[in-house]
Amino acid sequence: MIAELVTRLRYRYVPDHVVGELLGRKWVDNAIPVFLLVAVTAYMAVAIPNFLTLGSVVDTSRQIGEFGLIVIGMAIVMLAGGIDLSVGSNFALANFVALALINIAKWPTEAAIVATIAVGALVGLINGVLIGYLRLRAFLTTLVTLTFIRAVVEFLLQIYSVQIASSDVSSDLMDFVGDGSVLGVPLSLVVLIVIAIVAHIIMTRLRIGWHIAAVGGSRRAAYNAGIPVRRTVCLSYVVSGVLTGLAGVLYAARLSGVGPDTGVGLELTVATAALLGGNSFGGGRGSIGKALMGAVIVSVLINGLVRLGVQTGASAMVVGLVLLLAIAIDVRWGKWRKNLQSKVYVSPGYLALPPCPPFDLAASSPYAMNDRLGDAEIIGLGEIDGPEDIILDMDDNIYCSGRQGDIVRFLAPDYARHEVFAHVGGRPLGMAFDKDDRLLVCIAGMGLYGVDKRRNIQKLTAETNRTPLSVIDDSRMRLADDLDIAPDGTVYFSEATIRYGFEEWVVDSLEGRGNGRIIRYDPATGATRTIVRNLLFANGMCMAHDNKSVLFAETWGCTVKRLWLEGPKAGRTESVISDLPGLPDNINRGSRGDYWVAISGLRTPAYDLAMTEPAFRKRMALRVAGDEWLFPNVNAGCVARFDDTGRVFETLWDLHGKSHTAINSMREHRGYLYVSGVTNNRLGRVKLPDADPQWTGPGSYWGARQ
Amino acid sequence: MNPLKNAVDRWLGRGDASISMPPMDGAFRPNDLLDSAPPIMETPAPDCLAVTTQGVVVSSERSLFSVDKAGGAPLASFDAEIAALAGLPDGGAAVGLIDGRIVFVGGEHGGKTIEASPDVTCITALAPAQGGALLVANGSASNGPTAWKRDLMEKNASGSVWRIEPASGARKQLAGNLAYPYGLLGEADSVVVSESWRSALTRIPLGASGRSEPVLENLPAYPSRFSRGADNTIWLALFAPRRQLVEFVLREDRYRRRMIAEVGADYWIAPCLRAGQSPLAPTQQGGVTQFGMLKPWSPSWSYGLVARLDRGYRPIASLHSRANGRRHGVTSCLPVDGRLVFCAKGDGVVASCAYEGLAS
Repeated sequence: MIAELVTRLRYRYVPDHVVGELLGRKWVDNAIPVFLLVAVTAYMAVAIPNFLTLGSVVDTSRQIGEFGLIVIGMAIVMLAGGIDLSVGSNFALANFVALALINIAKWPTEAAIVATIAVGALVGLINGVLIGYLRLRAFLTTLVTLTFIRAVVEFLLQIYSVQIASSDVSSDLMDFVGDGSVLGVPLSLVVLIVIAIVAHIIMTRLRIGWHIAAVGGSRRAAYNAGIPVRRTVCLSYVVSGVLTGLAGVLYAARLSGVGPDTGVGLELTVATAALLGGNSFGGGRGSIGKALMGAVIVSVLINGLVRLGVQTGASAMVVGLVLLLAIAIDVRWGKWRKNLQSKVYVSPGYLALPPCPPFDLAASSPYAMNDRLGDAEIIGLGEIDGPEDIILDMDDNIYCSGRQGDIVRFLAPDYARHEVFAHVGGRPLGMAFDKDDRLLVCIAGMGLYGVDKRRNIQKLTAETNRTPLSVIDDSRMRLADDLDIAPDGTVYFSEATIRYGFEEWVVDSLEGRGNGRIIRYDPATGATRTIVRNLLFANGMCMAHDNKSVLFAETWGCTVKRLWLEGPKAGRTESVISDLPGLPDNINRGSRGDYWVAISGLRTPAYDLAMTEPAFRKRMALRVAGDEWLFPNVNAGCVARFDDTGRVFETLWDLHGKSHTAINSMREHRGYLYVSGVTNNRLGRVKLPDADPQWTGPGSYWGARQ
Repeated sequence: MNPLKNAVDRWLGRGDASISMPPMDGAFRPNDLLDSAPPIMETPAPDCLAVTTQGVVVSSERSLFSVDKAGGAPLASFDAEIAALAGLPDGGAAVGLIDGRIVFVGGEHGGKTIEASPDVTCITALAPAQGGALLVANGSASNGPTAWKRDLMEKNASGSVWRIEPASGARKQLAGNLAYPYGLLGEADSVVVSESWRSALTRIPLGASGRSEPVLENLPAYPSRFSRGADNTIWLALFAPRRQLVEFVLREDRYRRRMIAEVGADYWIAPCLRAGQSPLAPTQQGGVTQFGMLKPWSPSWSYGLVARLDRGYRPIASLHSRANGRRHGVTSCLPVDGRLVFCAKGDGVVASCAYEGLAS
């Protein structure tokens, strides 16, 4: 008992499901860089006194400004699937050009800055033409550019370095660029922030940004989609060149010196930063934010190492090791995450069901098996595929929701002819008629739709308010299941689970957790609100005869409950039938002030036991092939008639499973009961001896037609 | 073994915790030959076949029937259910009852009864040995033959093989610690035993020296009785299929113990001779009927399978009754005059089919 209690509490309060949900979110990619950033900063703050003082931070941030710009450029190139190694010498060239134009050519500072950026862009353009248009290998091409520009810079330095060093030109603007601050923030950092924001908007919100990511993600797919691949690739190098030129200007302004060491090895550091932030070498995955994070980590690391007094060689070694780490993470992370997520996403809960009422042939309970559906009249055998719900209109036509996204109509009076009433797509499930004879239908994967008499299909709602603090985005409906309509037109419908789609509902049964909910749609305002959460596969919905409450089925809980809509208990739920022998599905009104519920599958003792063993089910999901999973017995079922107090009067079974092994829905209509099943290829009807032969569903809701 | 390795294996589902299953392929490629075999007689739970001077006889509950005279009166009836049957070289039959007694019908020892002994309480198979002795398979030390499902789910390996002298009743244990021996075939100086829960055939030497050795392992189903044909090929009945989920439950000790304690044996996650008898029996996802049909490839708790092995005990062909078939739970088969006679205990049918030219 104690062990049982511990298990129950452990599965109630430890949110296993969150881990898998977290791993499913894109932003979790940033977890490693954020962790590294915090770890590196914390270590440095402890190891180096004054590391976090204002002066120190300002000093570091000036360097981050220059460095970050180049990393952003690199990230954009990487996002497009390339790499730009030439940034090291391009940076040196920009530094030289800026100083040479101001000090030797005496150009006005503004013009010099523009010209420097233009030179950077030119180098980028050369890379871009070679790689984008001539389709040379990015790595080798930019390696050549790196060496070549480096040679050019050294050649120029031999001629001009003395002249630059001895020049006495001074420029206020240049001083401001080098040392100035805006509101206390160093200018280079301000530039970085502005550029980062602009770049972020471009990359995430504008067409060209999407093009770049698309080209990096799949060059061929991007080409097939009509994206100008060559131009896009070329452009990414130009952007990298421009940002490198700008960084060169900032550097020139800060140090006003030229030397052969400028930018040596920078390409490696920049690539390390971009990778470490989480930008993929393969292209297609990355962001400006990731680039910034990587830039800060690497800057803090290098600065810290310098101030720790680590020798230059050792510092380079650390950067090399970090690069290796980043490459390893880049290669493995995506795969790890998916593997891990697939292992941890399914998170079964503890579910102890009440004792199962007996339903064998001799049982004295109303559930005792019989063969009242065995001789049901068969309708549309082989003409339909998996009718989940069935409904009849005032003219006695039958509508059923089929697997192929069709609502099929069988025409009265003999139902020999049928037609596709509407092709709505998705997986249509529960249906209901509103007061204008419009057919409202819940469609798994789509939401709540309406089909009017002229067969116009219209989306009513597909989104609801998101659950606060929910990791997965549950605003979008994944498995709208059944609905019913209040007299004022308000629609109450169930979403079976927020964690799985229709084709995966089996996995939800394995979880046995409260993943379902009830949603209210108000046609007057168009507002959609979730009103009840954490239901065990919210399924059938039915307005009570007095319209003061709505009945709903919790399939895994084997219960029928009631949600009060008005009166003293409004908003509260209470149990109506708490111990069904199986899994309740759709609920609909009957003619005698009663209700019908379809029991779409039966509990089995082995299944009931497994529901109290979450760890067993979790391992089963991991180890055992899906076809072999333990399953509720959906090869048998029945329909049950009950009243508002939860008293069950009778059940109808197909004892030998000839026609209706599992039944998912039923409707009473003019003295007959019509049944349908989601794994069946037919509909059926039986005469109900004591039912009101005039009673119809739409009439019960909207009154007899004039 | 190494407890750390066991823990890691259990966590990762490999090694002993692996539940991979031999596929129904090669010689075990599915067909519907058992289903297409013409029935000879229908009788409740036909269990074991043997050849005697009365022709082919079959045991059904407490009686022996002649297969050749279907519908006739029983040849013999007993006060307990028959658990095993063997035709003896002298034309008589040895009948093992579920309470452990062995009764001889016809032949040299006709009418003699060997009383039950505490060592042999679960007779599952009998076979004549050289020198007039009788080989007896005792399936389990703790469960009777009707409780075989419990024996499997308890992961027992307490079965034994005995040699009994009909004249004196003296008995000698030939081997112990067997995982439910369910079939016997005497050879010149050894006996081959089918160990159901190991899904294997094992050779046990009759002499004092020598060790038992595996003959055939990794069968896709639980083997039961087997017999040798005139052409020296061997016919092996396999009475229930192995299932991943069962193997998994066998490794989940907590769930398994609770299931044994709290759930009725008919509703266990375990193989059986005929599935689908009760809506309370567990279902597997692949076993959902679609359009009112159970697909033949769906996983089921019962199956019909007879394998033909060459003289080296390698499978060469098989006859099947698949998930949707009606010849499940074959516990015995005999080749007689070019036809294979088999009894599907789960479906209460004795049938026969020609096996000429049968190969995978």
